[in-house]
Amino acid sequence: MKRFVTAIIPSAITILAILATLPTYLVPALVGLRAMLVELAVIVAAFAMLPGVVNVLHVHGTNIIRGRGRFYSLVLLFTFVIVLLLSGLDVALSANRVSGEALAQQAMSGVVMTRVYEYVLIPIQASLTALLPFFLAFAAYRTLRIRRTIGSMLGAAVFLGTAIVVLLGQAPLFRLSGLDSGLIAAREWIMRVPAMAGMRGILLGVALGIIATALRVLIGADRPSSD
Amino acid sequence: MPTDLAQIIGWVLILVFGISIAVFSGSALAGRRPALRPLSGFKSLPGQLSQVIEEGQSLPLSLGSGGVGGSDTATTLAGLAVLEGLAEESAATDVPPTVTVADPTTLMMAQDVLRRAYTQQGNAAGLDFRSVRYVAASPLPYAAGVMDLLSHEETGTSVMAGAFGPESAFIAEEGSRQGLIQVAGVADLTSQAVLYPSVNHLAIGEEMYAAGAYLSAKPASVGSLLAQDLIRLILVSIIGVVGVLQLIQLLGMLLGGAPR
Repeated sequence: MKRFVTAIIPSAITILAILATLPTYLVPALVGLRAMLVELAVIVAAFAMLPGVVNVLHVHGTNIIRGRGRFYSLVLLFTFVIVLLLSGLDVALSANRVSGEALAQQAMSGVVMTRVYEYVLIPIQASLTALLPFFLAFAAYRTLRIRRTIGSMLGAAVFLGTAIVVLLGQAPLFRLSGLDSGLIAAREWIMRVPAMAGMRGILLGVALGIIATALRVLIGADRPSSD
Repeated sequence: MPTDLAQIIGWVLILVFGISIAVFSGSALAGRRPALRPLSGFKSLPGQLSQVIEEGQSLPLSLGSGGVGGSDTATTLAGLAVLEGLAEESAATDVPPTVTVADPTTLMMAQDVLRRAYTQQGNAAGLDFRSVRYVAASPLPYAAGVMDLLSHEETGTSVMAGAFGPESAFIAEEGSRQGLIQVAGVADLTSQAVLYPSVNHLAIGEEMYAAGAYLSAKPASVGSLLAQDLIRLILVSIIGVVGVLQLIQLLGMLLGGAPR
């Protein structure tokens, strides 16, 4: 009985969901069924957020009690509680103006959450992204230094050389100077021919991998959600 | 029904793919184990896990920002296959990997993978569910959280397998700074480009989806890897033939149009 509940039912539901979804790509009249299944999946996934929050509280609460990474965990939980309280206050203040779905929307994109996104998250994320090219340049330099075999050194040299040509070919300073037609042509050729060819090859492989994974789940060979 | 020729070819290809998986899986199930093409990253992973366990350390495994149910489902499932491959040995030695996720659906799936491995080893009570951590809900904060984890964790190896974007460069950079041996399997092109100079072993393209075949050697995984190779060979042959035909056509046009 236990095996029926933990192994057979989850696999059967998964396979049935795939079998119900696949024909909707062949028969346009069945698109509504797909939309309904996707909506169901979204609702189930939304409930998964609850264990996520419990996990955050569990992990960081234990860290605080055991004194391991205490400062980081304290700041994280403190911020969590403050944002939750402010967001709750925002919803409570809006409760007399809006209701139902609009009120739920207020919790997600109300004044508090919008301000947190605009003035905290976006600037931090933009700063981190701006650091990315420097991280990459340093990583490329380190690669050249670390790699020992001729093949890997050659690969790293090609990587670095290509990166420099593409970067300079893209730089506005070189574009405006009018002396860079060779660099721009080289950059465009790299992007159009070798990069595009490699990209298509990799994407073809990725597509095959995705299809193989889906087919394994469909025939029940892979059971990611059951014993 | 599909009327577009490309759509029909696509469906036929999927059908052939499915039949190939079934045939090769059946063959592997019957005991015929073909030699798999070498994939340095995933082949070396069990050895690295053993070393980490011997030294009493933990193995950080980042499953990326993808979830189950969205467009990254297959990639996340491939990441979970890596976890499944590692979980058995972890359960036997009671040293679970430290798994980080950025989607609550992946959190539940990863916890379930560990639970199954521990139950199979008869050590269900030994599992600490905190070994799977929900770090953040979006890619950049997730990368920052994993960087913090790598800077504190006592380990010699770091594994990334799942849906990553350019933020993976930050995780790899922290790994390099800590002198870790890094193994990564990612599907996203930008992520592959930024990880190339930083990690020791990088699984590119479909190699990411082959991890299950190397780590767990399940007949279905081995079968699907062989089917993948077969279909790729067919596609490459078709592209090659079309390329040659186009070249011949181009040459014909050039010669035919040349002045006498």
